[in-house]
Amino acid sequence: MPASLEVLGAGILIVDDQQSNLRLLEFVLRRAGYVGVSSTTEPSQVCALHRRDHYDLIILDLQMPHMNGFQVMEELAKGERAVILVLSADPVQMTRALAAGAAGFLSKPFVLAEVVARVQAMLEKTTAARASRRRSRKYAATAL
Amino acid sequence: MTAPVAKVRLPIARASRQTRAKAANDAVSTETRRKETLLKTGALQNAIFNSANFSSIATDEKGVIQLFNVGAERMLGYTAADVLDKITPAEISDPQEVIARAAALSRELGTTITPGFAALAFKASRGIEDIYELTYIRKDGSRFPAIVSVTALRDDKAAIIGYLLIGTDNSARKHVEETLRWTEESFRLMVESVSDYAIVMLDPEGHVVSWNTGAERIKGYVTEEIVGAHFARFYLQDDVQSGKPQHDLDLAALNGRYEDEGWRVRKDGSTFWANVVFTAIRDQAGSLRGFAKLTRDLTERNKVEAILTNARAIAEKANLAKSDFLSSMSHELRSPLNAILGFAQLLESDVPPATPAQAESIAQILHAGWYLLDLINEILDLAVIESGKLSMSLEPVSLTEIMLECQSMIEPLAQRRGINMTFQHLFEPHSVRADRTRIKQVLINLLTNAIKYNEVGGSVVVDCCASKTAGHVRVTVTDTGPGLPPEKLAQLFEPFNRLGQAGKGEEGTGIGLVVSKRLVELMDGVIGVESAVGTGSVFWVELLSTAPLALPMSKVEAAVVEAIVPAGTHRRTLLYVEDNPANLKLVEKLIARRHDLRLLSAIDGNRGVEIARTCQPDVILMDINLPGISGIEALRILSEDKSTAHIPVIALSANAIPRDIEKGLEAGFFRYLTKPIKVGAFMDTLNVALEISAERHARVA
Repeated sequence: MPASLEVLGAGILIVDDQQSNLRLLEFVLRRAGYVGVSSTTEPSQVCALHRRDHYDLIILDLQMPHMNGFQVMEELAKGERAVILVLSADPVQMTRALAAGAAGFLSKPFVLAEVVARVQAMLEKTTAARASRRRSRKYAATAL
Repeated sequence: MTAPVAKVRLPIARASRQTRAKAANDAVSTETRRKETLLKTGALQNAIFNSANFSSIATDEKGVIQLFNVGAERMLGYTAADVLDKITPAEISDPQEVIARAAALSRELGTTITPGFAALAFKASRGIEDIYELTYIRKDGSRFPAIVSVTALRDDKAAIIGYLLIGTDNSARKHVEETLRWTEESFRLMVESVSDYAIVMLDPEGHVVSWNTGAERIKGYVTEEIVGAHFARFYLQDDVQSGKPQHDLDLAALNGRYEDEGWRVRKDGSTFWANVVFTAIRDQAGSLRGFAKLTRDLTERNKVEAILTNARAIAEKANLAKSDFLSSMSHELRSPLNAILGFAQLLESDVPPATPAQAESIAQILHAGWYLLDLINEILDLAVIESGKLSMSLEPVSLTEIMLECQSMIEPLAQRRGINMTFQHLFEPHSVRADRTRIKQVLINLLTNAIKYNEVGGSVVVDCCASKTAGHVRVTVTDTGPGLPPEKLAQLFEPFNRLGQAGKGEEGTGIGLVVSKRLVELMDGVIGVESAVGTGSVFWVELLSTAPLALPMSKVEAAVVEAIVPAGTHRRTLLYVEDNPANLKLVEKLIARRHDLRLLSAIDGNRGVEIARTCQPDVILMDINLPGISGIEALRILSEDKSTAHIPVIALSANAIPRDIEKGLEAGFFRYLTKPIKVGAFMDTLNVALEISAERHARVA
């Protein structure tokens, strides 16, 4: 099933210290039709960026200098709710990542199609939830 | 017995001659006395002459033999006639000994004694009792040791008229002495050569009497400088002042033995921690003759122990470091590989498409890249196994299911290679105690090898049967490959020993079989191979057999399920986290009859958590023994997450031990159900959980 326009318009932030991986993901997602893709190699910027742009999905690497993915998730947990997909070259970290609050985990290297499918599935869920929240707010407003 | 009588006559004749001289003065009384003497002497002489065990040799005052008895004839091999009036006893004695004795006596008595009969008789001639050892020489030249007693024969006026030499063969005693000497000597040598212990003999006062190699090594003194010295010098100054050395000896003398541990001093003044055992040595009469002192240097032992412990720690640390290194290296390699594979995939699916030549190049990059990933994964696998961090979930697993899954996974590869694959006895109900994921990994590895290292048009046969080892099931994978010679079979399960690399062009890490072996061993199983060059190889795995898993549900149970179905309510979601398809199928069948329920499943804890976060099920059913994280661990993650904490989680486990159930409930499971599933209780619990879930949901909303 192709992604809906709402899904394709979602805000996505890619966090990875390696330019090549960043470029790869941006490329793949743009080619799949996503228009709101941005990226950073600076893990310390993630929280500020999320506060400003309210991403629908954050794709996060774990092993990065200065601040690793777990520290980023810790920081994110203090603020606005974020949906996180962890992409790590260390498959052993899966449990820890999920325990730290990641909603999904994929290991590197990945099959491109799998990343695209997973991103779509996660965004469909969050946009659906947002839509239903909007609807209930609307109903609540009408009821009042 | 005529000869002795003949001999008897001679001395008597001499004696009588002298008696006759006296008789001129006192004829009558002399006559009486002579008769008495003759009678007495005759009896005595007879006894002496006839003794066969003592040689009795009488000589005149110059030493010339006058009497030679039966014993002498027997011992020395001469007849009386050979020696009488001819030679002295010195001539049947070892001449060297006679010379030596003459010299010794000369020194002892301060006068010159000539070697010869005088040397044998000199002491006796001075009225000194003389018994000595010497070597007699037989007529045939052979020798024997003898003990000889020499007595001077005197006449009435005490003038020496001859000598009597009574001798006995000393061979037997000499032999015993020699044996004893030898034993003592070898014992002494043995003690002396012991180098691990200091063995020191002390006299009763504590002076060193003997000193062995060990003592020399441990304490630094050589025998010459220490013998005669007092053993107190091995003690610390303080100990000496407090009288410890004598105290130790006193205790040993009192109790027969005394053991002590403490500091002792070497020649160079350095100290060592010693274990010392004193043993009092007493003679047969019980009087103290000295002490045997055995000393061990414990500093050395402690040092060796420390070295060993240290070496072990270093080895363990190195091994851990190796595992850590492999694990982090694998991570470091995966990151850049991700870019390589990712961009190659991009090129592969690019628009406009690549030219055929480019496509071929991209395919090569991708092929090599994925192969490199396999390699890295296997190294990581091995590192995890070797570091002991691999968790196993051992439970009954149906081999039929595993084989079916393997078959569908491996069939495409077999077809590509033109290998004919057969699975025999596929539907016989064999169950084994294994980790589902890992046993599949092992079988896939064996199957892949059987296909890869096969001849074109070859075949692979997989079979499953009861093992010759009672209580085990054996899975065999038989190929028609080139086979392996025995010397290569041994290396097969060693890391990085890929066989037939040269010219074969077949990819393989050589780690697969090593990993398989470790995995099978972790499942308490055995893996092995038999092979014949030119015929092929048979790889086999043996695992502990368990009772076949019951799958089918009875009609009664099905009816109960139907009856429970509440009609037309809105559909709720149940997530079942279970790695065993048999259990999953059963629950699927149960839920299929409830139109109000939708079933989701996850095959391990991590995926369970992911699905729970994404799909927000109303109730979760959780197996406890799962690959990766356990059900308890998964529950902890779920309950710590705000988005899933409210979902009731029911444990469903084969583990029915009360303590485990208690532990499960303590961990926070809503209910704890045991396998096999009792349908009634299962449905009741599910309904309660659904109600609770609805209530919680309403509260949250």
